[in-house]
Amino acid sequence: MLTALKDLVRGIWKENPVLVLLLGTCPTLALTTQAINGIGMGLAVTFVLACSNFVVSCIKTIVPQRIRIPVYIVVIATFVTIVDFLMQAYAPASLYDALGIFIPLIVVNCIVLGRAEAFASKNNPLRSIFDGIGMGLGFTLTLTMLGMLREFLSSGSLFGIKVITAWQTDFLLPAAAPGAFIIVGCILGFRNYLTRRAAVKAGKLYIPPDGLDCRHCMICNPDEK
Amino acid sequence: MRFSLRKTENIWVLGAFLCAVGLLSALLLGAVNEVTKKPIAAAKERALAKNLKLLVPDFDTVTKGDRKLALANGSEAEIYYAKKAGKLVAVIAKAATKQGYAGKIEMLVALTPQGEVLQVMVTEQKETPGLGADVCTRKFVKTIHNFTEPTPEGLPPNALLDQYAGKSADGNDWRVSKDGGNFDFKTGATVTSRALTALVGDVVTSFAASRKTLLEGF
Repeated sequence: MLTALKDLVRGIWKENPVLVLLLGTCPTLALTTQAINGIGMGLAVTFVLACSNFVVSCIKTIVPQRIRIPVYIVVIATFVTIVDFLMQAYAPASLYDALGIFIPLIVVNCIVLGRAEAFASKNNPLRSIFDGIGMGLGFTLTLTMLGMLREFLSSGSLFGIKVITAWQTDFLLPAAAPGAFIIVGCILGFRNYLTRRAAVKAGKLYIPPDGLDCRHCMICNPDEK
Repeated sequence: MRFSLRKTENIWVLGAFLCAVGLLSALLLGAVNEVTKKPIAAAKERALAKNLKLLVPDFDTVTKGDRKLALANGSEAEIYYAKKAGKLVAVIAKAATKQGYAGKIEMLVALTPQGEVLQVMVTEQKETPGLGADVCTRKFVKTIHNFTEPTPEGLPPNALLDQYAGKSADGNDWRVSKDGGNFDFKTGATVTSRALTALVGDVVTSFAASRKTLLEGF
């Protein structure tokens, strides 16, 4: 049970898919113009990630190594299409209106394939489900935070509710893709600053290795040597 | 040597495996599609009925017309007839244009039988958030002062979409004021405003031209 919990928490901070693994940057930048979009895309990805991780983990012993990636993609695409059909048919119209456009985009989201290949194909089904949910939640939280920041900076509202009523004209930079890049960069920098400070406190003196950056240096990562 | 499916390099085995996976997935999707086909169609109909209810305030029945309205932009618009107590009260055209800033814009244009615009609504668009999207979206603005109050009923306002209401084909130049027409546009979203104005104008003028044939039997 403890490992399952660890798998769950790892995706949220230590191996956050957006801020540490730097996966799924396309939906991160394109869809987070509003906080509600971040939640929607995040939850849809979480569901698909948990399901595809489970199936990939179940079939890992019979899939030939040579063609594992096409097989995984077929599995993921099948799940996404099923989710799309089911939501169109049974979800309330308002929910499908909000999420509908993101669903087909999940197929090309590299987090799903990345976790299938890096985790689910090497671990048991239960742990894979927890890994999928954890990664999905990390993705959801990051996207929601980014969406809130961008929505607030561009129009003074949060989750569609205008917080600053005098804010009439939209400030467009945060709502556009370049603004998203700048904000993601600031969040990444802040996160790296926090981990580096923690590493220094733990007595690991930080000396940047030549030509390496935070993604490759393992000094801050307490589990690695 | 014992045969291992996981490590095999035999191209025929690999091909057959991929075929089997594809077949299995296709079967599964076919089954789900078969099950959800009817609910999806029903959900789409419900969404359309909801939008029509917002556009045309007072009607009992709505029927889809057999004829289509041919637009000047080359596409065809589906026509719906709204009746109250057997009398035709509105004609709704579902028209689309590809002149938007990000491709297709689809809208519902409700007209009186005389050819005057009742109201319009955008049902599909991918315009820039904050600019073009604002021109297309009808939404009640919620602020911290009123967010606990229930959302008002009816069609949410949008000044740029509401300006078409009451306009007809005659006496109107269906262009934005920047191009010399008599419709407002949003600065920074001129392309979207142009596309919407042109589309509504297209529907109104095409309807006026083929009104007799479209209203035959009503």
